[in-house]
Amino acid sequence: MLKQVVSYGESPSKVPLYLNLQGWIVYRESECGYSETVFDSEKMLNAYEKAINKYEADLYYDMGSYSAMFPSRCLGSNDFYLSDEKYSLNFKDISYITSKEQYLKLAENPYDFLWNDFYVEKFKNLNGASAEQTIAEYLKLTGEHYERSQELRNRLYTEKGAHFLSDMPVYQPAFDYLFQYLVGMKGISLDMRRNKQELLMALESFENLFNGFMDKMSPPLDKETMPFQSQLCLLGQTLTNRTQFEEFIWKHLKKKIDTYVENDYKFYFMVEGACGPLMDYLSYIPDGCCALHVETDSLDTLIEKFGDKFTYVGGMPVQVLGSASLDECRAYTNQVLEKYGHNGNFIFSTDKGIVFESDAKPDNLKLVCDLVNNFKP
Amino acid sequence: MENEIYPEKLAEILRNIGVEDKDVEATEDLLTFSFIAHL
Repeated sequence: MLKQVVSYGESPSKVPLYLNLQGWIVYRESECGYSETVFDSEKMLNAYEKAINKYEADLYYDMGSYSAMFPSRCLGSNDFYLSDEKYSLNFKDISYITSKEQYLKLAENPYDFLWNDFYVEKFKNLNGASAEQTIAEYLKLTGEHYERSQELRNRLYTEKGAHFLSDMPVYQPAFDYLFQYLVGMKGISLDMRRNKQELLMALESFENLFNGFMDKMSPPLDKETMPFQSQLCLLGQTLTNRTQFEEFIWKHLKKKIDTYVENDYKFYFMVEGACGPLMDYLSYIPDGCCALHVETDSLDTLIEKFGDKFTYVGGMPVQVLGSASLDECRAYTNQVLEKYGHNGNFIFSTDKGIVFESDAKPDNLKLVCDLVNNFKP
Repeated sequence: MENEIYPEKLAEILRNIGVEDKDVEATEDLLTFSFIAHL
């Protein structure tokens, strides 16, 4: 059904429902607190299984790969804030690159820079005598978690037909990697002007390293059973004007889209924040291969501009899900389904991930699942 | 540099914890790629 909704001329028997469940809505299902759960693989997966059983959908984002904190604790990172009260996890403002010389080192030898300048600074347990024990423990923890999550994923697929986007290789342009994990938003905004050439060289090197690795390590997914063969995630466009977008992001993104087209891939494209300069480049994507999920631009604007080019994902603002009464939520959901649900190219979802308590009342979310799952297109 | 771990020390660590010589490079790649996205 998910495959049909991204294929021209095919009409799925229902409107697929996609949920990105994170934070409060999941971990309130755990019998222990938030921090105790995200530091424990088994407790985390138990909480996800309960949430997935309660909120039935066709596609979920993941089973906690984003919020799993046991690898970070094992490595000795302090780059995050956890709030048990808010069930939230936030990045600290980071800046591991502060000079032209560091960009040049990253450009010339990314392994050397990442290990000797970045990882040993960020992950305190990689320093000195503890490094060996840390790496052994890290491989053990992540290996065990992988086995456990695969077992649960297979069971949920067999019993419910549930798919997970996290099973599909994710592509982010080097620009997004760099500002999210190494330089910070403020740093990259300044460096697009003050260290432009060095930043461009570092991006080229990073793109080759990470996305080359991703291509090597991710065998092509089966087109018969998997709704998408890849996913794109973009946030960096919110930091750039049109010229910067073209120079720092689009040239890499375009190459990746070209490889999808060459291989006849279907892909999911999450645009965090506003499309901004990306809006003028979306027409480059061929018709009928992309499920487009935008966080802040209206679906009506996109449909008016691009028509049947895309499968559209979204329709439900978390603001409504988190604040409306049951009757208001029912009326809103029905309105969305009637408006977009009859064209065969719509996946119902929230505009952004359900993270905070204010993002969804559990009864509203349950109602939305029931309404979408029973709607006849 | 005092805390330098790559390449010699990392390869030695991986061998010490039981990674076979033929798998050392692939394990280094795996760790390099995995570490980036941990908060």
